[in-house]
Amino acid sequence: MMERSTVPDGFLPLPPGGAPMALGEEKALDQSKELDSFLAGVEKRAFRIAQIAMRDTEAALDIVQEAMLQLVRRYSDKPPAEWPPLFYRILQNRIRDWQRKNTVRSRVMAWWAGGVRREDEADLIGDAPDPRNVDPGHEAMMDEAMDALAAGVRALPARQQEAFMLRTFEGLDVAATAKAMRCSQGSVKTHYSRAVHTLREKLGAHWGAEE
Amino acid sequence: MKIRDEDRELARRAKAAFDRSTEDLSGEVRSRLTQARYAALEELEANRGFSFGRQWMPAGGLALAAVLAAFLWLSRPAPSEGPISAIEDLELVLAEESLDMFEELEFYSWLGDQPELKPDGVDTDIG
Repeated sequence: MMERSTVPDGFLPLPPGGAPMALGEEKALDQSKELDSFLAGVEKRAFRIAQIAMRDTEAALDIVQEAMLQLVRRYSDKPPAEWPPLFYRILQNRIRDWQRKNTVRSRVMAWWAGGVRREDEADLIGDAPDPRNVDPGHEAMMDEAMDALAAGVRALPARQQEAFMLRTFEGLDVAATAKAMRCSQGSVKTHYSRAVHTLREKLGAHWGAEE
Repeated sequence: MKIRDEDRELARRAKAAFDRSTEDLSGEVRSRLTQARYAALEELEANRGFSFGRQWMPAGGLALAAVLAAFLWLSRPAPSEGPISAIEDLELVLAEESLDMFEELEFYSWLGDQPELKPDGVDTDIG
C-alpha cells in the first residue's frame, strides 16, 4: 500500500523537526543565500579596487556598502549571472562621484587658501592628492609591488583605470566589463590595451617578478 | 606577439599582487565588510516583507470595504412609518385628479342621487 504524503500542495517536505516551508519561502531563501555568496565573494576585491582608486579606507568601505545596498535594492531579482557587471557599475559610478566631489572640494579649499590662481599658473594644491584622504595605514597595508601598481593605476585616465581593474583585478570578461562600464566591447579592449601598455612601461619589465 | 605576451605577463603579475593584497586585509576591515553585507541582506528581507504586504494590499482593501459596507447596512436605522405615511398622504392630497374631483363635487353629489344609476336589485327604500 502506498503511503500518502502528509505535506500539503505547494509545500516542501518537512525537514526533521522543522515546520513545512512554502515554495516561495524556499525561493527567497535561495536568493538570499546566492546574494550572500556573491557579495562575500566580491567584497574584498571591491574594497581594494575602491581603496586603490580613492586612497581612503573609510570612504572605500562606505562606497562598497552603498554598492551592496544598491544592488540588493534594485537588482536582487535579476539573474545572478548579471550581478557582477551591475555591482561593479554601481561601484565605479560611486567612485567617480566621490572623485568629482573630492576634486571640487580640493579646488574650493585651494581657492579659499590662496585666492583664485591665474589661468597659466599650475594648480599645485588642487592637482596634488588631498592629504586628508591619504590613509596613514593604507601604504602599510600593501606590499611594495602592489603599492607601485596602485600608484600606476591611479595615474591612468579614469576609463583605462576602470577597464584595467575590472578585467585584471575582478576578472570580468570583455562583455561583462563593457556592461559594467556602459560602453562597447571595442572600447573596453582599447582602454584595457592602453592601460596595460602604459603600466608595463611605467613599472618596467621586471615588476612583480618573483625573486 | 612579443608585446602581447609581455602585456599578458604584466596582467598576470598584477592579478597575483592584487589577490595577495586582498588576503592581507586587516580583521577590522574584514569585519566591516561582513557587517556591510549583512546590512544589505537585511534590506533584502525588509523589502521582501514590504512587497509581500503590497501584494496582498488590494485584497485586504476589498475585504475592509466589504466589512465596512456590511456594518453600515446592518447598523442603519429601522424605517419608521410616520414620515413615510405622511408623505404618501400628501401625495394623495396633491394628486391632480383629486383636485379635479373637489372642483366638481356638486356634480358627483347629484350623480349619486340619480335612481337609474344605483346598482340593480338594491332597494334603497327599505326600512
